[in-house]
Amino acid sequence: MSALEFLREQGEVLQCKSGGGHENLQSWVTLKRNLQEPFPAILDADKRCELRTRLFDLLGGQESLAEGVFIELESLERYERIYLYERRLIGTDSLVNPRGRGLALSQDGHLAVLVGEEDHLRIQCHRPGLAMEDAFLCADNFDASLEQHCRYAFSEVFGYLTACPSEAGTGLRTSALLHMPALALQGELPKIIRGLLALKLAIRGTLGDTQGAPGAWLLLSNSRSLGQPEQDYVESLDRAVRKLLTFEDKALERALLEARSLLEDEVGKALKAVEEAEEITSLQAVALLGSLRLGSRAGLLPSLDSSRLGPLEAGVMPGHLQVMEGKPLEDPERRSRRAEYLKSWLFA
Amino acid sequence: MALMCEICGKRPAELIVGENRPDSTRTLHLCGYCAAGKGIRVRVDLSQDPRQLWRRFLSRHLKEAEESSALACPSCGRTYMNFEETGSLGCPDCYSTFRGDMVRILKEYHGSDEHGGKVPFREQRRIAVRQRSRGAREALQMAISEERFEDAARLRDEIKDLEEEIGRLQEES
Repeated sequence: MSALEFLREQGEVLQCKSGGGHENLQSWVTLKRNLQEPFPAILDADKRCELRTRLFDLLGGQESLAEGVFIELESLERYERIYLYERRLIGTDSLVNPRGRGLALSQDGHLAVLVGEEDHLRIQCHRPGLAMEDAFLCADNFDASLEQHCRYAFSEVFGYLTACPSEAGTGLRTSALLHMPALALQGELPKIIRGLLALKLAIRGTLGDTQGAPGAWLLLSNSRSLGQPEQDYVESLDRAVRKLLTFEDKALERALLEARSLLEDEVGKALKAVEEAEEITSLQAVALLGSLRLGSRAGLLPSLDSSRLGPLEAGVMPGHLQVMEGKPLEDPERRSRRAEYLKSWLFA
Repeated sequence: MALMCEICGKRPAELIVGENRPDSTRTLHLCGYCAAGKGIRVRVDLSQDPRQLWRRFLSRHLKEAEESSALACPSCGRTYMNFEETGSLGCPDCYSTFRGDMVRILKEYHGSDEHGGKVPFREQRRIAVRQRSRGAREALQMAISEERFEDAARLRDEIKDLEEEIGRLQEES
């Protein structure tokens, strides 16, 4: 089985499964760790390859990765790397300059370790739903087991030493992807974002910062990592996410009471747009599927199988679409293939 | 009192919208729902990802760096100018090379310059011994100032033993 086939098989573990409750979000945690030697970004590609071999050997001895796969990123096509980038398993450096960088994945898909990108190791645990604590425990346990076999770069004062000082200390980033369409419809998002920034949380959209929040998806992370115990950062994001979910539920109740026709109109327009589309960009698709997920949560689309939305939301992204086709697709063809794909899933 | 939406009159206005008419332009105060009904959505600024927050923070704070500007890391050769350009360091030793400015920058960015989280298993013993050594030094100063010379002699021996242990642990690592 190829690495990509393996990934696709266990990929659904990470998708938002349905349109209701706490299932319209994803949680993940990353821990950055380094050995006492130069960070990968200042190494040339040959030295990075040598580093990757040593780190793969180290990781290969870990029980959690024993049945997993180890991918040398330059062995993949660019569109396959885009797929990994969309799954948030690799960063832009590995996408653009893959030589000497690698990814180790556990058999169950719950643990991934990115090797040789900005830091020597990026331990990552993804979970569907509200599961920051669970994701953190997974990453923390793996880290505790790994440190028995290597010596991390660590300072008594600054904690774990990372290539970017914004992640020093715990080396922890805990993140959640949330769908907030009712708050967006109510015009409440700017206020909420101001509040989150005051809590020292970082917020972004899913398709880059110039695109706003297509489909009303927000990505939240801790922006600080030094000074407090790991658990405090995890709990602080968890609290913020729970509060936001309550606000969103209330906003949806209110929208159903005060603006039901607006909701129906929004969902109806989205369905019609998909039905009539010859071509759809990923930005449009994310926005349309965001409206359909809202419709599904509001009970306005009883005929729509909401479990289809998770795979669709991932599937319309350029990397996923091309991996599904098993070949690179240029943009005009990709747009029309995306429209066909959406229609075939929604109106099958 | 909150300004109410000029269309429904029921909900507080969240947006100010300019409306073009054939002969004039007028300003409307609308609630989110009525604005959405007109196809207008509130734009949100989402250029707040952690890396951008860091770069924006650095662009405001790096100019104040004086101590490190002429330094290069002896382990990796990274200069402070490289750090200014990329926002990243070259190796773990850069933290001690640029320590003066790093303490200030980390304190301003994270609200703290001291790690409060997990300690790797291998470091725990070394850190515990160092902390005991620091405690013993403070106690020694106190004993000297209070002229408790027997205690001072005992503490001096204890510090010597702890320093030797620190040296041994350093060698082991």
